[in-house]
Amino acid sequence: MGVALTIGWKEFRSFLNSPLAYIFVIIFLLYLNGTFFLIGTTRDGALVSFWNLTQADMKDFFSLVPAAFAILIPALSMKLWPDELKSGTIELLLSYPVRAWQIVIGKFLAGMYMIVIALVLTLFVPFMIGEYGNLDWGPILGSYIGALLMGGAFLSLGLFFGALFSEQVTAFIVTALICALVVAVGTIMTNLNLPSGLQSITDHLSFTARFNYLARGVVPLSDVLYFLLFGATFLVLNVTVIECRKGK
Amino acid sequence: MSMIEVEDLRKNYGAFRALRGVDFAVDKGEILGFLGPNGAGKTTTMKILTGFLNPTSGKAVVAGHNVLEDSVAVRRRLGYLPEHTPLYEDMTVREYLRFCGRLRRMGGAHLSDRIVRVVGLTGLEPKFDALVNTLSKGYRQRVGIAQALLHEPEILILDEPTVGLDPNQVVDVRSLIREIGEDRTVILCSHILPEVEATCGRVVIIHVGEIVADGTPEELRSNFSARTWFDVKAMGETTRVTEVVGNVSGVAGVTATGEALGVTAVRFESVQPEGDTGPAVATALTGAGIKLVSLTPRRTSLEDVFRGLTRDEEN
Repeated sequence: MGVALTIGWKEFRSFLNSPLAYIFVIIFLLYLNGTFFLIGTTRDGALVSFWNLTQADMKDFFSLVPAAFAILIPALSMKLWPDELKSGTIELLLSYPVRAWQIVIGKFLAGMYMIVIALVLTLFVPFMIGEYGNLDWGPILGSYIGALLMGGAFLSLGLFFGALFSEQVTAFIVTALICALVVAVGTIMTNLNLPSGLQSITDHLSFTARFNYLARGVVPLSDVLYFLLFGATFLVLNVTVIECRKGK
Repeated sequence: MSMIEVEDLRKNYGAFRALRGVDFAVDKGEILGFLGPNGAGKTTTMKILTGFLNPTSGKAVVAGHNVLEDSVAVRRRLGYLPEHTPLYEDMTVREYLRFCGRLRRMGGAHLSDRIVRVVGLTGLEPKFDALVNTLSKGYRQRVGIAQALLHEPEILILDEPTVGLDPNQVVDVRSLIREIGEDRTVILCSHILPEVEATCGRVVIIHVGEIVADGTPEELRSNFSARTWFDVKAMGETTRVTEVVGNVSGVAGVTATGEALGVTAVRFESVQPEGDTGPAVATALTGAGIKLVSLTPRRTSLEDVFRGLTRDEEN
């Protein structure tokens, strides 16, 4: 684990040296706060923003997070593998007594640090709402846990495609499309009046639906496991991709 | 004791057979020069030894550990400088070496001492806190060498270590390699034949995925061609010089190679020890009243061997 932490820290430092990482975190924050404070989200056909909230909750704020993650996280993850593979530093890294899973976990940790930073920068919102009304912190905590779990799942997806394509732009587009899809099956697609059989499948696949359960503050085990399994699957696939490159 | 043993190593990239059964061994304390034209399989062999690529078949044992079965144990004992020196661009030399040490589970005072030591050995002090992406090719190369030496590896594999260095640095790096080679095992991949000749006790030449020569530079030269040539320049007519030289015993194949300003250049092959033929030719020319300008023995160089073995049947 020490090696994974070393690699994670190095990759994190590399994020902090990268203007692109800052730009995407800023876009993420601008999108969330701009929509929540200035434009408003639709709830029951009416536009609701921070200024006309009828009760102190962050439901509307967190409803924006899945879509925002679908852009932010592919943008972060696209850097992690393609840089390593294209510059050839992987050859030197793999000549060290380091195992593929340690590199994968290290890179995953670096991405998680960035996601944590992005989420920490949103913390002023609940504190501000708490100033004006009686905020129930349960759903807030659930939402943050859900965001971390969903973020981790997206990140492992992006990491995998980065290793598979070793090309930043391709990795970004494919990851963003799949992230958008798993977000959309729970939101836009619920309005399509799908047959009930298909509807239950899309509900099971949907990240948004599961994120919304967590955001109620109950943290159901099945939803937590869904995100964890999704993330773990792509991390394992990622290790496999790296191992397979040896035999190419 | 063999530190590196390679047996019937084969590697296919799709239909392309990059290695077609490579065998060689390197002993402890030996500096092996690994030569071959581009695309001959040099780098592929190194990538297999360092665990970056798996062979299609065959066996490679490094420091007693099979590279396929016990790759981490191999890599712990190995320092590697890959071709083109890939480095992390956005770190300083200090940060980079510290990172490398941590990956090898080094730490504390030991790591700091080793970093100071390798930075001193490679002359990196002036660039210790410079970002890697600001370094010249020569300094990058030294960072690559420094990381390979950091953990005092038993085995050092250097792929083109002096590319991009200026002549002074080249001399420094070569003497560094010789120094390391005294008690460690070194494989030096290179195109630069004089470098290999000056540094390596033994040379392996690989061509189209097969080893075509293996021995000391001296052995390679004598196996390839035991002949010694002489270039003679003398003041006299070509026919006369050729005749006089041709009459000396031990001389064969006299050919005129040029004439200018009354000086004739002639080349001949010595079929007897050069210590006998040379003086005999000099005496004969002087005896015939021809002034000798120069008499130069010319031995088969490693370059001749290399070109002779690898020029044919390209690919």
